[in-house]
Amino acid sequence: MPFYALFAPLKFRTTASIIHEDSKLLKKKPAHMGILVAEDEFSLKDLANLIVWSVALDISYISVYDINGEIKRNSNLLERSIEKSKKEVMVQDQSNYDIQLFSTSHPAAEAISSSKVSTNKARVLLLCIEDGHQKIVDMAKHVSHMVSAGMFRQEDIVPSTIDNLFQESLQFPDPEVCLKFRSADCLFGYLPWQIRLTEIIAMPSHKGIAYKCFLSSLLRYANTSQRFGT
Amino acid sequence: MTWFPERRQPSWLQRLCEAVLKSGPIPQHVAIIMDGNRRFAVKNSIKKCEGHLKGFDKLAETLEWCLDLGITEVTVYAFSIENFKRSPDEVNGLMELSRQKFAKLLEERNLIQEHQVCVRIIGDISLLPRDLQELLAEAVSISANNKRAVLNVCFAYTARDDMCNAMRELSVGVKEGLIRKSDISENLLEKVLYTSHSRSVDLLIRTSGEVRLSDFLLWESAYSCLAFVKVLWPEFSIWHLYAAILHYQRNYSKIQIARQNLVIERERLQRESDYQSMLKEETEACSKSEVPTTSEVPVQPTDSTLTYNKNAQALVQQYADARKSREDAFLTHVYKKRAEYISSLLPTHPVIVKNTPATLIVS
Repeated sequence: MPFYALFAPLKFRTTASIIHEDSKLLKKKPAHMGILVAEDEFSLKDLANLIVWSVALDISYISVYDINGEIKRNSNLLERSIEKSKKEVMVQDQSNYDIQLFSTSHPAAEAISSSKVSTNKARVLLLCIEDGHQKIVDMAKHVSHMVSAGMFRQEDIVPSTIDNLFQESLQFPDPEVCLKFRSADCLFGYLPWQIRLTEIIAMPSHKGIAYKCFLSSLLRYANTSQRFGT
Repeated sequence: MTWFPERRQPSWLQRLCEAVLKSGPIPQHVAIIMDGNRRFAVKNSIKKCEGHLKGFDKLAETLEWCLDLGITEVTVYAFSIENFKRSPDEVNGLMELSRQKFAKLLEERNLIQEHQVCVRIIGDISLLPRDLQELLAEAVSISANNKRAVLNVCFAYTARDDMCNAMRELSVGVKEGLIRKSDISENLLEKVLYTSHSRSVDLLIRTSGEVRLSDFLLWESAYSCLAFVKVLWPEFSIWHLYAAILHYQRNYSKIQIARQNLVIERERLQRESDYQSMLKEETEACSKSEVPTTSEVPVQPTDSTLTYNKNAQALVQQYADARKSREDAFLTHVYKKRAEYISSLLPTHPVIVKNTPATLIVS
């Protein structure tokens, strides 16, 4: 082992100030970043790191998806991991960052929990299979009820109005980028309505993911230009 | 160039690869976003429309490769609703290209029948020029009974538009009393999408290195294997197709497990919904009959839970049967409407008369 490697952990510790510097490299930043975990085992510690790094990069909406809802069920543990990771990364100014966890089954309850004054607010939405096709079916039910009740015209069932209804219910913009931690190249039902223009970036395992690897995937996103059909 | 190019003899290496790949699972349904025609044109300093023409030739070639490999259904993204935003020149050029190609397809109708290819149009074709609509309708109707392979052409399509169209059909169905709100499920919604007659999409290929779906088959590709290929569409070769299939095979078992779980989950949700709806129906019936004196009313589990369970199961079954027949009637109605729309576009004279016997023989 070379001598300087002894200092590596000190030198390369990822802190908020380093991340803040790096954020200037990104020509554009996603408002909503999706994290899709298609692996059998989860490391909440690494997921927490990913979330905290994203928040330090000023990404204010983050969704975390795993098909079976394993992460959703362990939201308390994830919350603790986030606190821990926040202490390591944010060092002094951790109180300035407020990270709230949500899920579609209890959106409000967890939302009120923090009343601290904080400058950077980030929302993390935990998702599973129920938030995929099933939500589109729910929308179809809702709309058909409204049409039958004469509160909605069937001619108004067009992408723009339906998209507004989806935005209202999720309170999240569409993800501009989705980091797909894979064992397989598949979306496994991740937000089929919202994934329309999402850049889907394939990543190796999330376990032990390094900050540099995360940053390079966002750089890749920042350097693509979308043409929206034209 | 024609839709059915002269068959070229595959090289020994191709035959070998094909044999190796065929020993594993082969995707039944492949969807393709043929991206990169214009960049190809710029790169090779040819006109945009020539780039699109090259793209078409590549499609005809790819369909043949797919058939050789045993891929029986191919869906291509030909023209998105968003593409109407392009310059009028380019849009007109694309419409003209489509006109020529579908006219050519109709000219080669004996080849369609020979190859037994069924052509379907996915999308809201009422947005297209009338003469093109008529060509598309004719291509659909002459090939409707062909069974060997299916080519779905997404034309004036976006996935969100498709989903909204499905929601509209369902809403009208509920409003007119053909179905109930509670009948709406993933399965039913899927059956009113434009892709309702297709198999599930196994592999989705996008060329040109872009890594997004761009409003293509959003619902259908939620459990598909995704293959993002770096080359521009006119440069796509059989080797890229082989690589995509290999990629599919590597991902196959993981995705298959998820799909099986999905089927089970859907069944569970359906049973749950039937049970709840049945309970609601029963309690409503009870409250209407006002004096629930008789103990046979199945909602009262007084005598024995076993008979109660039996009764409940029978009632759920009864409810499910009634729901299924509502769904069938509704779907028949929707499909009939769509078929009528297609036939309303067909030319009213000899052409059909000439063709009807051909399709009859096939069926």
